[in-house]
Amino acid sequence: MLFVGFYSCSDELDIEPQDQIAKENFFKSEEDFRAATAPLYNRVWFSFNDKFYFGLGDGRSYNLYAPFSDYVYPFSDLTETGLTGPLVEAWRSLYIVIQQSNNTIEAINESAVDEELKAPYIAEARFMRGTAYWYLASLWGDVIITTSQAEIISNPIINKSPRANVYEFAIRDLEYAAKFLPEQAGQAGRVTKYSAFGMLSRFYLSYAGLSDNPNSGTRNQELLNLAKMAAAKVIEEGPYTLLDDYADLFKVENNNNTESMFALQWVPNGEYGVNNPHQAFFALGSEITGDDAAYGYYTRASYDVLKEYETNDTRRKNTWMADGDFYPEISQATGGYTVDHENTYVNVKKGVVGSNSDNPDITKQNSGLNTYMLRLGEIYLNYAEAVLGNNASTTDATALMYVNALRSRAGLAEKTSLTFNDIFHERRVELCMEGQFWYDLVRRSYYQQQEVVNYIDAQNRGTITPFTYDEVTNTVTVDDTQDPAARAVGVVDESIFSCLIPNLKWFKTLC
Amino acid sequence: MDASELFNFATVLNNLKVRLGYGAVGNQSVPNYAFTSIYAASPTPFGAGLLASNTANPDLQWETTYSSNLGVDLNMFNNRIEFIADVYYKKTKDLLLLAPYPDYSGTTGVGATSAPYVNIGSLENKGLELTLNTVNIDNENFSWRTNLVFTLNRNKVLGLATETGILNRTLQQGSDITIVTRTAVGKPIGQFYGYKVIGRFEDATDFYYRNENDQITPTALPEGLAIGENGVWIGDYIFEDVNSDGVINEQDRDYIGNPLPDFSYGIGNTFSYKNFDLNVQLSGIYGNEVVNYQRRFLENPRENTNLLHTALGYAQLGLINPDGPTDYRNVEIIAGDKYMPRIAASSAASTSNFRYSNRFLEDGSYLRIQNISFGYNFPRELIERFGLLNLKIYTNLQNVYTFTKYSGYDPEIGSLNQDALLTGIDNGRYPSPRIYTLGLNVKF
Repeated sequence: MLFVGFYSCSDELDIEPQDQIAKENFFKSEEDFRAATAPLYNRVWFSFNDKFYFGLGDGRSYNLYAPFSDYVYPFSDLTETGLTGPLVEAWRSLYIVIQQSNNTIEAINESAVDEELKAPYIAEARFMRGTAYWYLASLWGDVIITTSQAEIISNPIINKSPRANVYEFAIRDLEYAAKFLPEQAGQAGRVTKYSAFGMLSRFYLSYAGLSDNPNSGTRNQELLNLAKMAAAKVIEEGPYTLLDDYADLFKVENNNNTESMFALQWVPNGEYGVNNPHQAFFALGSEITGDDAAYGYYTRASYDVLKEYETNDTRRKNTWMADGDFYPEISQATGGYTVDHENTYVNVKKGVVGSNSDNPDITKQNSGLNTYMLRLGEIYLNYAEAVLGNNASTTDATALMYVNALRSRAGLAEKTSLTFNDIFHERRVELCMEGQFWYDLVRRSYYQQQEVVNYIDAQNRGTITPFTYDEVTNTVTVDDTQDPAARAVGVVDESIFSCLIPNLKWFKTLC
Repeated sequence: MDASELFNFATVLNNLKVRLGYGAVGNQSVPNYAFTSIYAASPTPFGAGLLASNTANPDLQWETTYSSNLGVDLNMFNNRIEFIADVYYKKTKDLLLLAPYPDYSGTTGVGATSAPYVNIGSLENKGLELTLNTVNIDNENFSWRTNLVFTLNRNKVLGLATETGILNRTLQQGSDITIVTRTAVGKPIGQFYGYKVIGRFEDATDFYYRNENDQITPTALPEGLAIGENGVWIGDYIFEDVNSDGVINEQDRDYIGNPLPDFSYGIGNTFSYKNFDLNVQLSGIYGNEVVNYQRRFLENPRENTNLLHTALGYAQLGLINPDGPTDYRNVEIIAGDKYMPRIAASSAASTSNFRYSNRFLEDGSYLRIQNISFGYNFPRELIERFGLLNLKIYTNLQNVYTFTKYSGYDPEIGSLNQDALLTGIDNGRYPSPRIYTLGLNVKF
């Protein structure tokens, strides 16, 4: 019996897989770290990109009207509940980013590599994690903060954290990233320290309005100053520049261009999970995609968003495609694509890139177009908004210069002063269909809640107005020959700014 | 008893044996390396990336089943009757299952790590097995044997190590994610869990009732819907308000059925007459319920896909007073199947009627003629001339006919995805085919 005892605690009984990569035999060098942070740019964001990027960002804010797409209409109708499938999936999708980032951070921390070499890679993972937490705070408010997947597995019940703490957590992650990410991306498409500052300018602006009084009308000046400084740092010191032509931003050949600060990196001709299915959801018909994956006939611009565009705004044509619009880059073999149908509806252009013959990187259900999560154009607008701050208007020369740079790129006249509504409008049209507008509304609701409730009420989502559209002048006209249709929508009140947490039963024991 | 009576007793009873057994069996059928975190390659424009593909569980152990049984073997009348009976009790500990984890654990979805395998609890199975083999007729030319098998099993969960003490399984169709079964301590595994339909709104008075205090109370309506054509209307289902809170929501779900059978049985008969032999096998189960899950989508006349023809039986509505307003008090059901709802006027109402409820539960009992085989052995004298030792021609029919009340393709459903907690859910399972075989057996 003594004999047996000697062998029970031998190291030889600890098995490491010889034919697979396991945590124990990985994370041994910087190449390993690079390989570990790479999928944080695509696969972990796949579910989010697949539906919720535009379903929540543009659907919930009523830029998009897609009455038959069940991952859009419950959000635009404001009728989703804690059990609505798409809401549950959206919640899950953000936590996939968070938990895989947690796994990467933990594994890098535990590895035997030199400490100084670890920081930039941990920073990349924290950038991703912080961004996901910002989405969670903006959409749900009080959410679970978790920094370790292994801990949840052994102890799944965790209390929710209040919204302010979640914002602070996200900001802390991005501040770490801003400190430790490199100034120049090692590979095109990786985030840099300036990407982090840019993201921070957005986060500070979001958080600035939060207080106990949602109708306070003012934002925290310190946070506004931080937002301004972060934006200024990006614009003045960073390597990013605006593209000359707005249309160039959304072409596959211009992936990771000089204006792109953080974009999800899809793999052309890649497998499911690393593809970008946006074109399949948006394309009006198969003449555009060259295959049958074109489901966007009834994914359209809302009447409300079409009213936003000024007459000469070229951004309209690059975001929405109307009857009569001509796109030379689509269907190049036939000399270009002209949209031809009744001028009573307008479909999506942003994200629609053409067929495989137009660019070999485009394949079925995979446009190959990187999804913008942050670009320089937004930083210009963040700067202007931070400068405006709590004033009614501003004539600050730098802010005007930045906003006017975007306007003149869009073919519009320059402004001589900016009010909040000017900037709010510019954001809506510049970033339309880039999954941002709902978050603009949410952060405004933190300090001007009643105005936002009124704004959304005025969108009149319960009435589908028939219209005709003139693509040359960007004019939408109500069609009096048709009756408006009614649509059952939820009540517009302050509860719409925080979605219900899915699967409440896990919290049953806490409430 | 005198010697002659003892002698008679011996010719009646050929064998009587009483058996007692006990054993333990282990099982470790989970994917390899479930105790550690395995990384899988994932393409990126930066080169091949590596992403954790599973969630590690370093405490994972083998699952063990301890079983004990008591049996009796009885042979009587010159072995013309053989009777075997077994009573058993099995207890499984450290059951290996994929654990459920909340959505914020990052264990569901593309790019997520798969949920960990966990030793999640204990289970008991107890039951009875009876076998009866009889030789009914045994003549020179003709013989007929019968064999009967009867099994009864009762299953119960003894312990479940999840935080909430329950284990749910869900099915996803498009964006609809629904819990279909629930496993909880004290009940058998994989019970169907959903809403209960208790009737249909047919008269205006169905919308109100008198409660215990004799006050007029509105009937519980689904959360977020009010009386109206776009909400709840004549022709919609009435659901049971399990917690009596006046509203129908996810807290009004309850156990609605059991996929496990009361008993299962098999009957086999073998006949042989001179050189012909005929074998007929029947098998069946009784008392189990099944969920015809696709009916949720294929029977909803509002869906714009191909539908079952039963969808045409939707309740058709008409006005009681044709000149009156379209108010729920002026609407009645004028045609249609008495168990079908109306075509809903809004997607919210349609989703409400076709939620997962006992409407889609059916009796899954069946008796199947499993096998008929008929053969003829050519006589020795005939084939010896050709140098053959044995020549048999036979025909074999499998799955000849199934007697069942189930409306789907095939009541023999088994477990979805080989997951024992998803037993009895027919999600468009490909039915078992009928196979006809004709054959020739030749021995040289």
